[in-house]
Amino acid sequence: MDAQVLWYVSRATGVVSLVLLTAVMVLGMATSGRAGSPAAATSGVAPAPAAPSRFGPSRFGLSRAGVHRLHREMSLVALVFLVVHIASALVDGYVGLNLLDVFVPFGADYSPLWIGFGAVAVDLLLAVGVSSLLRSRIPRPVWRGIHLTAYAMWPLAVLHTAFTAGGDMASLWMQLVVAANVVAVVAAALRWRRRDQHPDALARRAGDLRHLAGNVR
Amino acid sequence: MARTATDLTLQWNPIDCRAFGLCAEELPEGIVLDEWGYPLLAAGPIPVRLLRRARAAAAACPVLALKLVARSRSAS
Repeated sequence: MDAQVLWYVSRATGVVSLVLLTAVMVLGMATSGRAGSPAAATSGVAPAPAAPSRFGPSRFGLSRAGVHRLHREMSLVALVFLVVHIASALVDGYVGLNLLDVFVPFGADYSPLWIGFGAVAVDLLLAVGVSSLLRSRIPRPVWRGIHLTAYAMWPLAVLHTAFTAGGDMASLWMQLVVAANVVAVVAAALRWRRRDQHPDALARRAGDLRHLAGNVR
Repeated sequence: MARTATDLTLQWNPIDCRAFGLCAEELPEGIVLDEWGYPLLAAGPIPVRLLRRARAAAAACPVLALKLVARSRSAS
């Protein structure tokens, strides 16, 4: 076997892992909150629901529930590629990493900072995954808090990709892949930050205002 | 004769529910949304043929406001 095969496998699966993680982020943001729900699209006044559009607009040609399922299932696919990415780098031995470097950041002999970012991302990803598997058994705020660390995990994964993959980043296609990933997540995040127009959300925001006014008196 | 109904039912927590609406997409045979997006559940036990979808509906809830429970426990 070509001695370099594992090294190429690690580089390739690393890029695929980043693309999949980006997809998981975008899919997650596409269904977070009440995005796309029919009642959330209107402002204030409840809509007169037409039966066929009961489920609201679809995303990526799927129902919102379908996007939600894809978010969960694609995260498992990303995990598989990540395991191959890490295992092949360890076995290949070209950069001399050990198992500890996978989980404990900044101790690697090779590129400790950027490998360390990858290790932190792995730790956060495991926390997000395990807490989601235990979602029905742990308090919801705890699950949500851990789940939101994905927004720290993903930039770390991007930095790990961009600066560990020194040689590959010199090629245009690699730069385009990383740039496209960043654009996708930023665009999804901007859409995600749009305020919920569901009557319930409006009422809750109005409730907060009354509470503040009461304190002033 | 094969049993057509389970002894399970969906239990909805209206306090926790935030009208995400995913449950109705997973189980359209048993859940419709009202005009604000909150679920209206079909009465009675879950039919055997809808059990998988009912489980998916409960699992899809982002705030776990929908649970699949034994009917005897939900009767109170």
